[in-house]
Amino acid sequence: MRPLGELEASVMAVLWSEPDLTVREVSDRLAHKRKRAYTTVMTTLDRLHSKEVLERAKDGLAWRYRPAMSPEQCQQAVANHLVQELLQAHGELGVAAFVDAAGTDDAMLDRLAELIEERRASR
Amino acid sequence: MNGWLALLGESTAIAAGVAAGVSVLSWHLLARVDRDQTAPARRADLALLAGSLPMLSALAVLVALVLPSLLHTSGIQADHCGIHSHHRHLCAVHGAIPQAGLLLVGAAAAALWMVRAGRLALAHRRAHRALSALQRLGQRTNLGRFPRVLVPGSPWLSVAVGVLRPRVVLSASLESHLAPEALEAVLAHEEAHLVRHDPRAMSFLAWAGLFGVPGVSGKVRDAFHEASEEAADANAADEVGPHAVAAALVAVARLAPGRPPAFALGFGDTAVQRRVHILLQGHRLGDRSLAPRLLLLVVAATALIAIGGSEWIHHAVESLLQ
Repeated sequence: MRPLGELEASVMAVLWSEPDLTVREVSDRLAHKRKRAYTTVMTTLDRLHSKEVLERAKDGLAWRYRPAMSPEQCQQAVANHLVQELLQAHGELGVAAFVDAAGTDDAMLDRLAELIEERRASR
Repeated sequence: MNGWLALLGESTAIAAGVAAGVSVLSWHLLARVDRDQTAPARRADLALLAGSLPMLSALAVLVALVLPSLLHTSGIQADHCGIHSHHRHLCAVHGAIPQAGLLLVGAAAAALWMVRAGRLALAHRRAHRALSALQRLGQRTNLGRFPRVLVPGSPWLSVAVGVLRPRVVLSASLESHLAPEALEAVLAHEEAHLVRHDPRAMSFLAWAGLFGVPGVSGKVRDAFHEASEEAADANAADEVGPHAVAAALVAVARLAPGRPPAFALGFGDTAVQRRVHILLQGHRLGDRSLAPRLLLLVVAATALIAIGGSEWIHHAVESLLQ
């Protein structure tokens, strides 16, 4: 998952502290920091929902939004995305990862681990 | 101004041709180096040399072709156009008639170079932003020889990064997934990369590769990558023992995401198999990287040839174009 933008992070902070809010309620909670247009907040909530960071349920005519992941899980997802981006630049930014596991499977790794233990024991 | 553009266009075409030839030749020579008999550190040095030669030769030729006109214009030294009126000229001063074919090749080579450079710069920027964002999420410690940044996320990341500020970036949760001995081996390996200046060398190779034939430059980079990994393994094995490094390779490979199922595997050794087998086959002490000194020497020699032999190279190219 891409890192959250400034408004996305503010919206998530509101919903992590107080889940199940409508667009209007989130907009009101944000207003004391900086006034945002209702439609801007609505678009942001919709985008976070399509990113699967938020879940929503119908409440009359409005949607109620709640976080689909904890702050820690969100941070992990962002970190994983950034790591992938970083490693895609392998060789260009001067990134040297510890191991390239491409082409390995558990059976092969098991055999290698056994071989290492045999060599260790026979030392 | 037109004279200068024509000279630059023709010189670029010639420099591009020389660089392409040098690129193919250096890869051909590098591919003949025995991967199993040559020490990884020496193979990495040779790959770095092979990767830098196309760029150095292109720049040397470009300087040699442009320098006489430049010196003449600035009044430092008269060019030699007057002494070979029978001859074709590469000159911005005396109204030489450019070859349309060369100009076309020069323009195409410059355009291709700019596109590749732009893409590389963008990739650089994207990766730099990802690294910065990752570091903001992480926690920096100064426990090792180089700064370490512990980042959240899946427990398998461990990279040596930084052209200007070398550091090791690793998953904070790696500690809970690896035995202390394996973690020590991972850190020793990454620090060995930084001692060897590998991130700098890889970044340099990426830029130098813009002067070579595209596919060939990538092969040289891959050769450097493989050799530098094995060299860092050898240096880490000096510190923590070859079995610890081999076990760490297997342990971290298990944590890597997206490994294919067994039926998707190809034939031949994978990188992990090869590195583990090298470590178990009898550990030889890791060599130091000679790359920084070697590169300095090659750059100095190239500059000397380009500037000192400018007139000779210039005249030789003119004769070949005749």
